Amino acid sequence: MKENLSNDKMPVPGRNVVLPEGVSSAQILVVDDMPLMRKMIGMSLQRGGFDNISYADDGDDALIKIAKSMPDLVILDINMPRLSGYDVCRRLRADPVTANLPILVQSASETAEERVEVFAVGATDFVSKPINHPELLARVCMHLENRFLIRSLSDFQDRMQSELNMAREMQHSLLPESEIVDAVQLVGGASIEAFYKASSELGGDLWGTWPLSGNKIGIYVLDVTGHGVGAALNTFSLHATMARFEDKKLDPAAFLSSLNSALVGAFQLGRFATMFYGVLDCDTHELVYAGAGAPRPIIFGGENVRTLDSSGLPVAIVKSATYENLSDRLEPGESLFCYSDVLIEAEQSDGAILGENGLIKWIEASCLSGERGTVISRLLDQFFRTQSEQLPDDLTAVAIHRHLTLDLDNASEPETPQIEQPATQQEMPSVFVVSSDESPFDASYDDLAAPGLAVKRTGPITSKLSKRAHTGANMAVVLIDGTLGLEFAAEKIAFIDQTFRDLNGPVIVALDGEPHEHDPILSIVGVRYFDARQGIDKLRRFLAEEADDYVRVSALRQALEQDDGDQEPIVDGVYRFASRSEAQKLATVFSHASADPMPLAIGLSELFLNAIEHGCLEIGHDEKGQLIEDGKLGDEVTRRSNSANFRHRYASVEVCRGRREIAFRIKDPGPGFDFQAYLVDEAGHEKKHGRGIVMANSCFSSLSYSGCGNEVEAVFAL
Amino acid sequence: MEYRIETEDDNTKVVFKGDITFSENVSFRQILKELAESSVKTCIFDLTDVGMVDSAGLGMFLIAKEQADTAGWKLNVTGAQGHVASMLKLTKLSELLAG
Repeated sequence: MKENLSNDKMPVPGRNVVLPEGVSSAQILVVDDMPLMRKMIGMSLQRGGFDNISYADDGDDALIKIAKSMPDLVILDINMPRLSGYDVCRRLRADPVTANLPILVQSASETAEERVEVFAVGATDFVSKPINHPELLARVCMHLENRFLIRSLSDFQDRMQSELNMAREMQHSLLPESEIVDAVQLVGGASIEAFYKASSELGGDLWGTWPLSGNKIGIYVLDVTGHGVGAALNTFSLHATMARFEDKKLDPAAFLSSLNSALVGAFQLGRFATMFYGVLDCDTHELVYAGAGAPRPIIFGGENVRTLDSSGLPVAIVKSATYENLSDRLEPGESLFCYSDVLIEAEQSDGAILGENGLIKWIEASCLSGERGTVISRLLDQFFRTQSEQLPDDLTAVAIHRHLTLDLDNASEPETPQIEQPATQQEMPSVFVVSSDESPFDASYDDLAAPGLAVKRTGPITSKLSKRAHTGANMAVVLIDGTLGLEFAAEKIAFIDQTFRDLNGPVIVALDGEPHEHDPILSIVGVRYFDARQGIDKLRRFLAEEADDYVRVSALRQALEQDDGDQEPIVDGVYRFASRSEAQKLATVFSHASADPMPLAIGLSELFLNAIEHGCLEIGHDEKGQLIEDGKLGDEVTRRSNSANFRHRYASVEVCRGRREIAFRIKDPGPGFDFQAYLVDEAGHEKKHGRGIVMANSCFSSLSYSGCGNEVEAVFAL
Repeated sequence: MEYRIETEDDNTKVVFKGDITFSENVSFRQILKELAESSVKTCIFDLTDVGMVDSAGLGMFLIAKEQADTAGWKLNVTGAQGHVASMLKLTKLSELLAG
């Protein structure tokens, strides 16, 4: 009987063709608590051509069977004991694995509310009892077909996605490997900063670099028109073609010509690649390059910012295109920046585009606000802030920053550094004067020399400073003439890189007047200004004191570097100190109370030294300045310390450590000073001695003088 | 991008306005179709009012040039200013597209 029924195929309404393979072999789970219903539905499905049918007696059984083997469709009775059809629906929909499983609900109920409820719990469709078999079959077929269609579409999508991912990975693999970049950085005495971002899944940009024979390096950027798969394929083809012309890599024009001839006809009509290729001789610093219409690379970091002429017919347009080798220089201390056009063409949030001039302005500003080696990342941060949406094209930005150090080993360098000093003269602070003979003050700078201060003239050329930075004689103050305008000064400061600033003393800009509040160069850390109208004598004093400060801070830093904070914890109590060296030692010891000891060491040393010099030894502020200028401070301190009047004097500091702060009360036996004048006078921070207080003030959370000025309490927040 | 085609005898002038970039691909092809269907002898692309052209835009000019060479009419790109002029100069396409 059963066999008869199953052989007697029932036609599915609206279908003349046999069911597709996947559909007829679909696994269908029939859930009903009544055996008769299960049997009827099963037979109906078998007659419709389905033979992969399983059964569940109730809701719990259904969930167990589904968990064991996922069906392609469930036919579910709604009225069952214990777990109802509604509950089964809810549970299946709550599980992500079965959230999309087609559920065909069959029920005898016919009320509108119940039908709504059925769909509300997540059923896919509804058939009413008594079952109309052709209708049931038609609905089962429809839902199964949908399911298979969706599954194959999403399979297809998954496959495309994974293939695109693979293509993107392949494209990223075209970018130079880190070993190659390392090798180039080593040969070129340079660091490379590179950024690459494809606009859609696949891009048409590429950059690369390679070391070449004869201590040379090559670097290219290219941009294939369009983006997406087409552009990416052209990029692959261009990259592969490059490998064919190893022998041309030392000659940029020949390299581009070869690529062009090989690729004309390989690209679709209207597709081409703009390109720049340069070869740097790391011994002579000569840069030979050829352009094929890439945006003009920019050289910065030296005396002037300049662009390279990269004009030329893009590659793969006309067979007859020729390219020309041009030449420039990329000196140590300079950077070459190559980028793709979207950087200057993308619409910014205000609707304008940056343009080449705008980019150069950004680079100049970025040079001033930090290290040259991170100019591009800071510039791109700024760029992305102005981008309201996704970039319309791929973005590539590559800079090669040549280090300043390379010159040191280069004996053949014709320029003799006139300012190198033997390291034995370290104790003598020097001021390096960067000026131009057009400046009205230029001649008078020669008069800055004093017993405590050596003067080195560099003319308008800052590059000589770079050599100084690495001789080890790092006791330098730099004076830049800003009287001809801040542009001159800004240009010079841009050239003094972070390494130099870290190793040396402050950079002082002499101005013909007061600075404006917003002059950007004056906000750079380590840059101070001096009003040149005050005259050369004041300037000499100012520089001498800056140099003295610097020597002192260097000594502190060295002392801190030598002991690694392996100290006993500070015990509350009163500590005495009677000499400058004791003051310095005590300051370094106490500074370990802070996780970042340097600022606390500077602040305490400032206060302790004041106590010794002004208190114990009664050296007046002006007197001290003069002594520094004359290079006689040390002698005078020794003389007074040994004299009968001052020999037995000492200063003391009382340390009291709390949980959140540590208080230092410093007392000296001196006559004190009019501290009110420094605390009230707003211009006090421009005065030398007031600046000491401000220096200490900025490190302590509170600083209060009492007595006649010979007692100060400084509180440091931990 | 907007464009206007002016025809006088055998001479055609296409006046462009706005930016010519990758996204103008479709309307640019429409222009080329219209040119192919007319009996043009010379055609001028007037870029006076174009503010920006990207490399895909330049590629479209090259396609137009190719179509002109094949069909035996003359193409002349004129009026480029500012960014557009510097793009044409940088890529030396001004020489290739100037008649």
